[in-house]
Amino acid sequence: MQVYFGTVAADNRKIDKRADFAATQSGAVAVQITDICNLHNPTFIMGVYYATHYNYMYVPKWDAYYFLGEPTVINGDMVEVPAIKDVLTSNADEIKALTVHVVRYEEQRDKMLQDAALKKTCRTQVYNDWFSNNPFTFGGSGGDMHFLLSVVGGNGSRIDGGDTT
Amino acid sequence: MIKNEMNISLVTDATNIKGTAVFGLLENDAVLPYTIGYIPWDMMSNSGLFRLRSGLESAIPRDIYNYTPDTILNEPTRGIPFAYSYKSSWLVSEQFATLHDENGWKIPSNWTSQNALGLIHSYNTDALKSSSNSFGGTIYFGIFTALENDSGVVTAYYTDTTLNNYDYINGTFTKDVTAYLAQNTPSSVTFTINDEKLKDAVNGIVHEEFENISYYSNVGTLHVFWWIYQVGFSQNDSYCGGGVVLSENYRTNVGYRPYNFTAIQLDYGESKNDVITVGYNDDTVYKQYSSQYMQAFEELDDGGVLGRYAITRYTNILITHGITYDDLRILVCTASPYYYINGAYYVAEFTDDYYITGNLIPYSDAREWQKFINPDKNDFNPDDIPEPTPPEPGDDADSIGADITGFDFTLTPLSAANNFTTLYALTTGQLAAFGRTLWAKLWSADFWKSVGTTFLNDFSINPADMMRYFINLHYFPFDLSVYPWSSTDGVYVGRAVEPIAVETRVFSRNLIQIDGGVCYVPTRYNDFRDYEPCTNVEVTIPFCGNVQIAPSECVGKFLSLKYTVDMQTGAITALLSVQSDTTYIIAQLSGQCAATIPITADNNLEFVGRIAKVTGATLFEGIKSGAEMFKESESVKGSIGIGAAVGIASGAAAVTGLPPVSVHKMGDSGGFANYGGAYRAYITVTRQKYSVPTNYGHAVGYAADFTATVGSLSGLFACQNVDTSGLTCNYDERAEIKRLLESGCYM
Repeated sequence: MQVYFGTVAADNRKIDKRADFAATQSGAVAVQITDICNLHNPTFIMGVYYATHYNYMYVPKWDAYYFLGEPTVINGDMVEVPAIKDVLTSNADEIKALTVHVVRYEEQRDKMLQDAALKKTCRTQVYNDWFSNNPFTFGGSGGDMHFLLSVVGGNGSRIDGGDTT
Repeated sequence: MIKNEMNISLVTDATNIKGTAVFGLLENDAVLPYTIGYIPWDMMSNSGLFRLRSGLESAIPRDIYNYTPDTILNEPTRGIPFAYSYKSSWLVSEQFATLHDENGWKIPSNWTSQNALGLIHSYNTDALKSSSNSFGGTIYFGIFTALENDSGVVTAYYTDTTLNNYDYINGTFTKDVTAYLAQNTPSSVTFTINDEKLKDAVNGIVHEEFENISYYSNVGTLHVFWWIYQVGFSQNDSYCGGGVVLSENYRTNVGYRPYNFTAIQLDYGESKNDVITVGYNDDTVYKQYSSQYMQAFEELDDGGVLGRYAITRYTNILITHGITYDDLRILVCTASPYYYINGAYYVAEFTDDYYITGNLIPYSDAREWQKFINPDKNDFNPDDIPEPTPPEPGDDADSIGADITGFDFTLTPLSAANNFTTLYALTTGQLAAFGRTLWAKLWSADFWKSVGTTFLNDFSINPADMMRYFINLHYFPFDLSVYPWSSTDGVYVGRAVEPIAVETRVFSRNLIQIDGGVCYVPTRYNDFRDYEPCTNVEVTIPFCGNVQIAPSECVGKFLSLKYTVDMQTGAITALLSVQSDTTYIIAQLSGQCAATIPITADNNLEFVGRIAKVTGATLFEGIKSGAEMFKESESVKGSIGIGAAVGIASGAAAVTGLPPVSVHKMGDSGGFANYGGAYRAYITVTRQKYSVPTNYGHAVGYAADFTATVGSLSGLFACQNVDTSGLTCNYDERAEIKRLLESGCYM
């Protein structure tokens, strides 16, 4: 079976690693699969060089990308390597076409969204400020009038009448 | 943070030497990792006022000014102020002791204690200012210190300092500014201050004052942190031995030292407006650099340097706008080897952008200044993001608080004229005159005869009946003279023809409206943290209490405050509104702003109880019962006059729409206790602090809520409830892809 090896440094969770893979892609290499295996995590027999110099492979026959696992030496230069299918890159084109509802994102698009994941400290910041006017000046000296006397009756209630302004 | 609570004592000798001492600490762990202390003194012939606690002298660098600490502390006759800068915690406030016996220090027998003056606070007395006549004769200087005693009473003290022929200083520290101002007849010192300014000064509000200052010191206008400034001049002498040595008199020296010693010495002369400019970036202002004026420096841990500089005569050293708290670190003082007059101490740190300039009184915005002098009040932390400058609501200052749309706050004036009750506004003097006249009238047979014959023919002549016609006497915390009045008249009681002849104003409004101003509630993070539940906004309204406002309602907006005061009762209603596109009321609080001054020992409880009965209220039934009991215990029974008065009063209440139950709300409990709280409205915004790692977006991802195709995204993303329609892979792979997309992937 012909495969291509490569070295991918991107995070395993990156959707499309094909560009990373292409940058380090080897030429076609013949490998064997061991006995019966499923396509999700097959085991390959390959030269030790490929198992130690690459971490990623593409299988054209299955049109699938695989992460390489820890190799086991069989004899001489041959090793047995478990592989795990990279379902993200193998289906990258279809995934990128999906319409999804994003709930966390690297870019802060809406600053007013509550974020429960943010860690709260025990500290608080206190801010004070006055209102611009200070009408209650107190005082009482000089010509300031601060006293108000309320009296029953008054000028207007005199028996002879009076000013009722 | 300013450590500003140092107990001080004033100790003088028995003759003519008196002095003052002030201690201030500036400790700002975040920016200036050191503690600095200043112990200036002046005019002390025998001793300083402070000393270090025993055993701590060794903590003081002995090479400063070439004096040993003992010499400095115990031989202040040389009067050299000293300043230390320390590593943090080398010298803290607790390590200073005032000269009290309990501190193990014996006050000389010929000294007289002036009692503890209290605590020095960060009150700024910039508004205090001395002035003088022109130079050539006597010059008066002022030294001002704001002190707060244990009862919270703040008093500004000043010292007169007279300079005669530049060579001698005699100062006293005996006058109380407030008492002095009350005299209104300053003989030798003119203060451009009044009570209001003093009060504002205590609150850190600086009044703008521009005067043609001529040949007198206004160093007192320096913005200092620790509240004392004096000025003097230098005497030609070289004794100082490491201190500031001035080879020429009467020059003004200002310096600062960001990274190298730089000093500006003003031109010699007596020109009126010596301009002092110190600029860091502008080479043109580097004049007459001379290190001899800059001998007293000490390297600090952070590489900065404190400098001590001399200010001599004609000093107009003022700090200009734009200097913020964490930028300030300059020390300015006046120094003289023999005849010491302490100068203003000012510590600032200059950055490239700031400079100081003379001859300009640099009053900054009151709000900024408030933050400036009380950084701890705002939880000052230079690492924090600075508060954004709130925008002004419109260019027209008159529109602030008035340009409200969507809510008409226009108050229809309610006349007080109703023929049932009358309000008389009085000044303090008029009130005193009224009291005198009232008591004279009460015991005048002619007056009672007049009252009796005009009111009811069989009116019982009894002064107690007379007093029942007084509903209340209130003190209002604002000036009533600015509000409308209908006439100037004596006080008419009941239907009496003859007034109690005291000139008063017949107050013509039952309700008045007061503008409490506006206050901007700033944003800080500009994200969800500015709102609940991360942020709490509380408004404290004098006389009304506190109210919490939902941050979503007010953050980033102006709050507007309006008061309505019921002049009959003193009840106050505060309306808090939010100014935005559509202004709306967000809170309404009520309280009592007037304090009742008892004018009669008459049975007010009965009065209230009867009102309650008339109006059907049950609230006062218990009070009424008590009143009845009280009445039964009195030898004087109620007369027909009481009933008449009650009827009139309740009728008046009905006419004016006033709640009669609040007529005596303050009762005879004094009411002034109500003034114990804040008398100016303010906001308190409490924000929860969050930890936000720098790679938060890439590692965790910000909260998001939008729909997109995966291919259009970039970087980390996580989805919710992924619909895998369109994937042609098998069951297991679809499930795996769904799990990965929902837990987070990179695109």
